[in-house]
Amino acid sequence: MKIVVPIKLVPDLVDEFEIDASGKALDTTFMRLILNEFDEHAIEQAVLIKEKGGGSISVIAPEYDGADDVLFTAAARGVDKLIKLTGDFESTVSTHSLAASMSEVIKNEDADLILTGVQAYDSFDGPIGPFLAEYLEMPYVGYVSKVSVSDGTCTVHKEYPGGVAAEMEIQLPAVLGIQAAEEPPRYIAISKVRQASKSSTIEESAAGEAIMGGVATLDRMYVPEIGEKAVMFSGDEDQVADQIIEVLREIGIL
Amino acid sequence: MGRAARLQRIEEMLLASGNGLTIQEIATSLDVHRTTIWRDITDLSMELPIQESGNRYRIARDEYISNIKLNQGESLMLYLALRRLMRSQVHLPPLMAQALEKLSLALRHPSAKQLAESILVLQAGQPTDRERQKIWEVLVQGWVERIVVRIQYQEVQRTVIEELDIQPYQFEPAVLSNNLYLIGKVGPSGFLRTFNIDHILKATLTTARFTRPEQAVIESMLRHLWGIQSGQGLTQVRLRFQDPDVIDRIQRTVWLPSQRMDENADGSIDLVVEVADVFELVPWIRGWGPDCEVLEPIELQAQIHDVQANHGGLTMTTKEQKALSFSDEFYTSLDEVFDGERIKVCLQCSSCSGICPFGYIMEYHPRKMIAALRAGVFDAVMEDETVWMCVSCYACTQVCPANIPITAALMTRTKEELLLAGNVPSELQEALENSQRYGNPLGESPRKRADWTNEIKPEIPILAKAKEPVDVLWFVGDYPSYHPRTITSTKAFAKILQALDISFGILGPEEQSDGDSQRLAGEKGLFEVLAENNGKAFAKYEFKQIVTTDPHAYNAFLNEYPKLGITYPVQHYTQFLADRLEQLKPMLKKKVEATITFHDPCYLGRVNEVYDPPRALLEAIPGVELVEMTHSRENSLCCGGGGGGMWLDGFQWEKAHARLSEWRVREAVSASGADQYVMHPPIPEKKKGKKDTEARSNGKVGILAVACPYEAPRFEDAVKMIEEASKLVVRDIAELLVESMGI
Amino acid sequence: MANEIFILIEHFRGQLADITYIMAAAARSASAGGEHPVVGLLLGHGVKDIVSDLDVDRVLSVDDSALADFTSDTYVHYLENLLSTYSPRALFVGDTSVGSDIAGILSKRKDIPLVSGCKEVFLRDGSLHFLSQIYGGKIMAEGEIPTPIAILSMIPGGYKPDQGQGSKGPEIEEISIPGPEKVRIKLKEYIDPEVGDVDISAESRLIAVGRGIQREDNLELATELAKALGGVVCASRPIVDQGWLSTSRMVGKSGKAVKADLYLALGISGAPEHVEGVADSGMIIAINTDPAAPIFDIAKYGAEVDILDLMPILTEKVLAARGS
Repeated sequence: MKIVVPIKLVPDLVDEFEIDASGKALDTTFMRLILNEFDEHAIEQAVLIKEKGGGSISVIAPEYDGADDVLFTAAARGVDKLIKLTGDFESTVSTHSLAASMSEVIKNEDADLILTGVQAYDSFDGPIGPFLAEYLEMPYVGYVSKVSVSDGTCTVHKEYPGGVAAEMEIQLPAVLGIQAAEEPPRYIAISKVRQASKSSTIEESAAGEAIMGGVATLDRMYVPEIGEKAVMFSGDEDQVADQIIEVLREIGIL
Repeated sequence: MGRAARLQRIEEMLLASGNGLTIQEIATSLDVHRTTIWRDITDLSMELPIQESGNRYRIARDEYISNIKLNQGESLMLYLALRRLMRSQVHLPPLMAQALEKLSLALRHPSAKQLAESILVLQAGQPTDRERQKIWEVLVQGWVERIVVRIQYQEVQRTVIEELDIQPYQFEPAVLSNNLYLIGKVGPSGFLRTFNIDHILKATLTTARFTRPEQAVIESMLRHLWGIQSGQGLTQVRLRFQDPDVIDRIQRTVWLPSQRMDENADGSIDLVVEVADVFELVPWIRGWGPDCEVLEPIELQAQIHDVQANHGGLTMTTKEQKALSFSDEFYTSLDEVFDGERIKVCLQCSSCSGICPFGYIMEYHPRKMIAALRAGVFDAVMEDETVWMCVSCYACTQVCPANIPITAALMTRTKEELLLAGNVPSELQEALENSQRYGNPLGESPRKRADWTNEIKPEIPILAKAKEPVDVLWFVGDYPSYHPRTITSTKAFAKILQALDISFGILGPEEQSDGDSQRLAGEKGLFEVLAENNGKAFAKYEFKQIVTTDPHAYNAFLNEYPKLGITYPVQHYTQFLADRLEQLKPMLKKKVEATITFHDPCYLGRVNEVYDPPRALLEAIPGVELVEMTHSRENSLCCGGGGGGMWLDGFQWEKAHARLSEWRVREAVSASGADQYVMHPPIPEKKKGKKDTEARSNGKVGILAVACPYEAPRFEDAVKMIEEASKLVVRDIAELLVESMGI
Repeated sequence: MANEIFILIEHFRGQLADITYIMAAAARSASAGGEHPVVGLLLGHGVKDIVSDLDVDRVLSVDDSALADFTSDTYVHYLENLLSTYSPRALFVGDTSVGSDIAGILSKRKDIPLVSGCKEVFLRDGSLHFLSQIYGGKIMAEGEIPTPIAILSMIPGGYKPDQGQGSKGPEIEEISIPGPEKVRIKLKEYIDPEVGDVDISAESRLIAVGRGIQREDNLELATELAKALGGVVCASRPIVDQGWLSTSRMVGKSGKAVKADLYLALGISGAPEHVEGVADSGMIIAINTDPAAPIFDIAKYGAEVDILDLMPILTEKVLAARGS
């Protein structure tokens, strides 16, 4: 079972964002990049599949600041092959374009299954999974929370609103958009990552020319003003509770 | 038959006879006249202890000394046999040593004297066991004279002690081990059993006698006992050997009387034996490793298969091997910790588990962990999660009579292994991931680390901007920088530094977590990364010493950073201020009317033995009455926050439904009298008013003073949970000083 | 025709999803003078009746047994066909488990630009513009919807579902399209969340708990409060992932949308995925020790106190108020 997990790094939400001078893009000077949370789940799910039935996992990351660390951490999790896509990647490269580059590399990997995070919050043109599926001519199912593989097919749980799930059977090779791995990603001790950084190598693969287009041009980008924010009650728990009771009386609940 | 030979024969007959012989019986047996025998016996009585009773003659066994004549070769053989036996005996009957000595002397070889001496040395080294000697003598007598012997027997690995009457038939050394066995019939059931002589606890002669079966019958019973243990029925075992060297060895030794060797066309041989207990063979087969292939029976094959597939040549099952090697590796790794090898001298006294605040909940409390380590089953500890109850408070280390560094060597190391295996409670995982990513466990942005200084005038110098040398680098820390409650004490300390006109600066956003709590929680790699980053920041600036309000940071800089080559003089803020008490005292103008009790932080007090400076500061405040809690100084109770504890609260609550901080608060309440402020008996409704909530007796307030950034929020949370503590106030020493300074 | 706005009607078990109404409202609002007729695309099997209250001008309906359930392969096949036959100005799909699966495929296959996270659509200087959000709403971006055709993946929040409802049922045109030859995805069965539990989407008083609850034990406090208020406990995703409450209690994108009169959010940060499910509720009161938590953006009232302390006190006071 050959699994490929394309991942990307996205800006960390902990920091505050600033718009650059052009007013149409983010100021990337102080931006810290972290692994897209859903991609982390995709890696974990791949590892779980490998632990159950064997196989090998390759991870592909574009050459962002911090990509090496992320790749080595993946190796410490149990990923076999690390590939870095080199090229000029601004953090706002379109998902479509990234998919085009990645699919070239994936074609060489002879994958049975491609797992990727179901979405990334920095994207303007949707998740990468469906694009990859098209470039690779494979079926796509997103919002997946359970995966099991057998010869030639995989069975997944696709999540729908209301807590309903659909069990679907998909012919391999296929692309899946992972919503959540079956187990939350386990903790990787730093010493393991350091070990991996010494014992693993990162293969580099040049990205093809970025196919721009497919993405709208922006008039402007801005940090929204918070509309009416909540009116805050002050005081300790006792006083807050009293104020809540007031409100409940006003709306007729009490 | 010549006379010499006849005398020899009479001696043998008398020895062999249980009931004794009459002169006529001997005469008839030897086909001579009874007067001849009578003369022989008279002569023999000179040399041998011949006893007579009721016309029957016998040789007094215990006084008998045999007169065997051996040639050199025969002596050597006997010598070797005895040597072999002797090597295995834990309890050495002096009998054996004596016999061996005589034999070695009989060898008349230049080295005989050396041999005799070495025997004496051996004897001196081994405990002489009078008891065992007596047991041997009883067994031998029962064997020769066919007397039923009553024994107390404890089967190997059982606790039951059986009392049995046995008919000793035969002594036999085990073929493959060093054990000695007695084979006898157990009455009244009549079963034949083998007894490991070392496990015969007591032996006495009874008055009953028995008849011994023919030797041939006994021999046939023995044929099928491989290692000589009792079993039932016979199973054919077929073992194949391929390696020519191995075949050579196999062929040269008879392993079992019933064996047969079949040669195969490809040169391999099959050793075929019929045994009563197939599994007796297992250790022997394993000893051959991959060289021995089990063909029959299937049960045996399954047992051995694991070994062949995974280890080849080792003598344990895969599981045992893995467990043992893990335990071994862990044991060895302890040597790297300072004094770690002292674990080997653990007395199993359980002082550690007794004093451990959560010992009663842990599946594997410290003493039991050491026991598991010694038993080679440490891997079981890895499956358990109650190790995470440990708060690294050092109480165990402090109390251990064998001076084992339990916290550092065992608990922290174990947590390291658990982390590597990914066995981590999720709260802790988040704190560690945050530390990795943001340099602080709270997940706050590193850029905001100095935001607490924003409103302060005069401005707090941030070294990257100030760019000039200072006397003191104030290492602020995680909680003091980000936690709202702790920021209050941080600001207080800033005021004091400014009031004392100290030249100082802080790292601000360059500062990362000191890493000590992460280290204690098992993330050694993370600690090293954080330390390296801090070290790089330190190296950029000129300063004389580091001062910190965090005992954990203090501990890290004092004891752990130097191991990584990062060494700076460091003081906890209480030491720093106590050194300047002369300057500080006149500034403490306002009275603080309070009964104060001080909580010794584990990593300032117990671990680094700093007890007095905080007390000196508190006593310098006018109006303060300083009292001690029941547990103070080195016996202090931990607040539960250290060693990653503050990131395991949810986990520990699930297990214990008790908080260490609450225990501590109750002590503080008793010590400081804060519970006096709860009204007894209850005041009737109409009398209740604001005035009644003030203290009755002496107008003083009960305060729990702390000197560690985790503690103010922890203890205040605990105070909320305990009714009697509702009037207890929690303050950092810096806050109290500032109150007294009126700034 | 070339100026029509198509919306992909999302439906499940005979009900239109809220996002369908929202898309209709969006399309309408961008078409003040009727320049852009709004057309609903209904792919399904035996579901024509469900569009009667949808405010669109007409509906193109493809009825086929292959469309009884959603799979991306099937939907893409039919949509591809429809897009070739008709060349609309734009296709709106929901940013959901359905729309999100197919938007990218169609975009690549038909070489049509895709814009995601779209909250609002409006006219400016005579052309259609979009307002999208990224980073969970921390950043907004505006731009012109690419010409001549684009796919927009829409999120809720810009319009209320009732804005997309109409009284005049749209005319329905049946289209017949040959089915897909090759389908690589097969639906085996639906798995419903545990039955016998409460339906939070029908409850009017909800006590919602999030990570701030810290421990499973503390759920008791919430249950007590809910009982006192005559309501029910629900939760954000982390609580359900831990297994402390069943999925039927989950509020948000992957859970249920609730329309409570009172929504008390305790220890919930207010991530978009959760907020999406709450937005229609009446009185939202949020308690969180982090004053910057986005939940305060949708709440009417808030406080920064500790929920574990607040809950028992509030329960007591509610019971006292009811008793008296």
